[in-house]
Formats: sequence, C-alpha cells, structure tokens
Amino acid sequence: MRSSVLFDWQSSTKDNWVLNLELFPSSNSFIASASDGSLNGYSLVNHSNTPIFSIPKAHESSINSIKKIDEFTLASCSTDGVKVWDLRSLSQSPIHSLTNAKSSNFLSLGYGHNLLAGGTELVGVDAELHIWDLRNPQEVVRSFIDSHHDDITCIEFHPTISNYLMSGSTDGYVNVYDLNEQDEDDALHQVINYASVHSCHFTSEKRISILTHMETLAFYELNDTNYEVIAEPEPNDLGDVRSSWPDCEYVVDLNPAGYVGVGANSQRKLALFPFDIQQEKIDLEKPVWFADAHGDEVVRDLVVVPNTQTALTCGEDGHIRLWKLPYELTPSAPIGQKVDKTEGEASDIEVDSDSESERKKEKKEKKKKEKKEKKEKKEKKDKKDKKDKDKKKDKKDKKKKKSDVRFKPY
Amino acid sequence: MSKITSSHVRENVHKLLEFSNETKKRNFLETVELQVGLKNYDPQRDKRFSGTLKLPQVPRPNMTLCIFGDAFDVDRAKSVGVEAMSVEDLKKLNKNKKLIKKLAKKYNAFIASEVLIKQIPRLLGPTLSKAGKFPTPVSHNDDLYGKVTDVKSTIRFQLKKVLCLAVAVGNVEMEEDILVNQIMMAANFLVSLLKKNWQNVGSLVIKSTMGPSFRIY
Repeated sequence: MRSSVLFDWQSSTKDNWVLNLELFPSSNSFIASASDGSLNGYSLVNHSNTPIFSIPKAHESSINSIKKIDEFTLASCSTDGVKVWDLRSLSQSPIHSLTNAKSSNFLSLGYGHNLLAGGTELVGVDAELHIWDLRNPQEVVRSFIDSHHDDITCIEFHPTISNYLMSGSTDGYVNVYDLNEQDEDDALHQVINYASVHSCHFTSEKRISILTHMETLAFYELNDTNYEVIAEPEPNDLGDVRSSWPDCEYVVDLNPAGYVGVGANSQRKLALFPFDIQQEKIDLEKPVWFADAHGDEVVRDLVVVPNTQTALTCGEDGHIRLWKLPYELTPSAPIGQKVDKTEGEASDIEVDSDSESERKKEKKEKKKKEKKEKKEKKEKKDKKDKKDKDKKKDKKDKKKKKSDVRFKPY
Repeated sequence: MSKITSSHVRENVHKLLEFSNETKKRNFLETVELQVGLKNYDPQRDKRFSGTLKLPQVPRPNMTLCIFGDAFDVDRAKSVGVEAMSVEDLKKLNKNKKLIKKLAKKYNAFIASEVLIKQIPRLLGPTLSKAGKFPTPVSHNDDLYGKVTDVKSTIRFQLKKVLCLAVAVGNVEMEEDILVNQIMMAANFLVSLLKKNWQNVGSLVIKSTMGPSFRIY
C-alpha cells in the first residue's frame, strides 16, 4: 500500500543531513535537527518551507540527539554539550546550557519526571551519564561514570517506575539503574549483554526492546528485584532482521507505539510496518511503501503523526517529507494508560468520542484533498484553499487559540 | 555480489602463510587480521558501525575464560577444563573494586549461569561492565563447551574516529581453506552493514601480527 507525499521540506545548506524529528502535537508542529547544527520547526498544517522556529547555529556541529521535554521545551545535544530551548522564545540562545567537566561530546538524551539525562562518547576510559533536574539545572543531580565502557547511544527513563533509568551503549550492554540507590556501585539493577545498541525502549512496563547496529532486534524482560530467583521469561531474540524482513538493509527504529521503519537505500525503498508490541511480531501483511523515500540516501527518522493518518520522514538527502498514509495506524496507548483493546488492526482505538468525530471529519477532508492533489497545477491553488480551510477549522476545533500565535515567524 | 573473489584472497593468504610459517617464523602464534580502510564515511554523522561476528573457527585460541556458575555449572566447567567460580567465591570479593578489577584483568571473557546473571550486577557492581567483560549467559540446557567455543569465536569490530577498522580473523596455524573462508565471511558481513556497501570500502588488507600486509581489495 503506497503513501503519497503531502509536502517536502528542503534544507537550505548544502550536504546537510536531517537526523531527528520530534513532534509537538498540541501545536501541530515538529522540530527537525540536522548535521549542520541547526534546529528548525515547521507547521504540520500550514505547509511552508519557511520554518516557524529556527536556530541555525544551535550547536557547533552535528546534533546527535533531540528530546521533547514538554509542549514548549526541547533539549538537544552535540559536541558542545546539552542545550535546552524554549520554543516560544525569539532569542537564539538556549535557556540552559549543560555539559560535563571534560566537555565531552554528548550523544544521547533521555527525559522523564523532571530529569534530563545525557550520555557521552567514550573519552579516555570514561563514558559518562549525567542527570540534571530541570527545575534546578545548575548542578548535576547524579552521574554514572563507571557503568559503560563505550559511547552511550541511548537513554530512556521508565515511563511509570520513576526510579528506573535505562542506558544502552556501543559496548553492547543495556543497563537499568535504580536511582533510589545513592551509590553507583549499588545502583546497577540489571545488565543485558546483547550487542552494540542503536536504540533501546521500554515497550511495556516490563519489556525492553533493543535494536543494534548490526540490525538485530531482541526483547528482554525487566528483572524484578528478587535477584536470587529467576521468574522472568526468556528473552525473545529476533536475530538479524535483514534476513526475515523484506527489503531490509537497515532498520530506522522500532517505535513502542507499534510500528517499525525499514529501509533499503540501495533500492531507494522505505517501508513502514505495524508491529504488534504485545506479540513482539511484525505484521508483514500490512506494509506502507514510501516511493523513492529519500532517494538512495539513508532515512534517519520516521515518525507517525498520531490521529492524522500522516507520517514524517527525514534523511541524509537533507529533506523532510510529510506523507499521507493509506490507512490509520492503530497506535498503542502510552505505557501506563489504559486503552480498550479492540480486535483487528484496522479499527481505531476508541479513546474519546469527540476526537473520533474529529478524526472522521479530518479523514473526509483529507480524502477530498487527495483527489485534488493529483494534478500538479491545481496543487498550489489547493494549498491556499487548504490553508484557509485549516485556519477556519483550527479556530473552530482547537480549544487553545494561543497555539497559532505562539510561533511567530521572524 | 562480492567484490573480492575467493581465488584472489586465496593467493594472498597463501603468501601470508608462507611468510609467517616459512620465511620468518616467530616464537608465538601470530594472529591474522583483516584491516578495512573505509572511505566516504563520516564518523560524526553516519550511523554507527560496530558489533560482533561469530566465525566458524576460533581465531585466537589462547583466550582465557572463567565461568561464574551454580553447583551444576561449576562441575561442568571442571569437566571441560575451564576455570570456574561459585556464588560463594563471588560473594567473598565483597564488591571490592580492586579485587574485581584484578579478576577482570585475569581473564579475556566470562560466562555465567543463566540463573546467576540476575545477581551478577548486585554481587559485583559495574566494574566488569566498565572493563567490557560482563558475562554471557549459559543455561543448563546449553552445551557448555559449545558456549565456550562460541565466546572464543566471536570477534568484535568497532569503528571509532579513524576510518580504519581491524578484526582478528584467524591465526597462521589454520588451514588455508578455513582462513580464506573466515576472511570472506568477515569482509562480506562488514560490508553488508555499510550503507553504500562496497562504495564505502577503500581497501581491504590481510596481515599477520609480525608479517607484511597483503592487499586484497
């Protein structure tokens, strides 16, 4: 099933790679970070190549990771440390600028329960993980410097158990720390020895997914605190997924919301598959193809925009694309929230009757828009029409009118 | 569709073995390394290139191992001739960093009984992880000797800031055929992980520890 491009944002700098995307649903926008050190925010409804938020020199070099803190705050990190940005501000300076004693290259970020964690590259013998409390960021709340022996590539706070923090590294270990233990020597709750970690997520309260740099994927159970007895199920190692998933030369990422992005840049292919998080199985019957995606360049991030039947992709060709999906992907509810489970992936999860009718309206509108968009000449006129419609719809449907005014173009 | 032919590799392996075994034989067992020179790869921006590969035959037979086992596994370890430590032995270390560091230095790698893996971080703290030697689990159903061989056959590869990567693929006492096979396996696997495959490879060289290098690509 194919998806079609709704809009294409192109980077102005040459040989710039767009590396990460973070969605800000309440303001219908997203932020993209790039290898030239820039942060740019764009609207998902008023499609324009002019960013609504732009910090061209956010960092001195390639931005390694970005993390959404709340609807107006974003953290980013690079060789010049971790910076926290207020997206409503017109200034080009961050509200916080954090680093460690060695001014290491920060590779990864994690956010949870008012705490921002940053992981560094290996410098000498140390790869450090530092945690700051954003309510009082002058001092580091605590650090872990003895728990990894190579670059820390991903950090995740447990969604519900606030004292658990997970970090993954190219040394092949995924560590889970208990922040209630004061001493680093006692805080190590669990070590999973798998392989060089590209990403690790809590896919449920007790399950951890690990995607490696060798394109292997495994699921492990979060251990309970009864260390003498093993009650946990065996890990589920899917091995090298390139041999079992079609057209897979690399995996963009496995998203705990229930989908996985799979690419084959030598064939200019990108696909999105629903992933059953409970069963830990990919649904190969329902692929979504992104024709030509980002050419023969690697796609670095893929995000499904919830409740809109659209998705965003960005890649090493310097482009960001908004795609119309052929069907609504049933998202898993964030961990900790209860959701009525309906059978069959095609049906939508019924969370709110209001949002459902909203979605239906949106779908109808989008179907109409789809037909028009087939002819290139009409596209421009229709974009203008869309903007007018969107503006009217936004005013009616959105409770917060302020969100339109928040991001002022410079 | 590999860009290196096994006949070409064989030629060079032959020369390499000839040198190390006849021309200038050394007093120790030389390891054969595959050195990959990358091009068009940006270590800052590109996706990471690192992982492990299990080879059919053990490249470095002198790897030392120790098993952290429960009663069952300690017995098994003794029967296959591998040193072992029990939970009591580990508890005796009393989480003393210096002692654990010493232990980490003594052995190249560790294996631990599956039933004990959960306890290892609590018993030993992060010191083993820091040394990069956190144990690999083995269950009672696994063949212990097989697991030991697995660990010994696994090579790590990692690209850091420089565009050169070296992995041990064998030793000079191996059969020519096997060596050729291991080199091909390693080379093809590494290339499959590169985004532009062979376009990212500048050169491939095989070399014995003390010998000259032979270019195969």
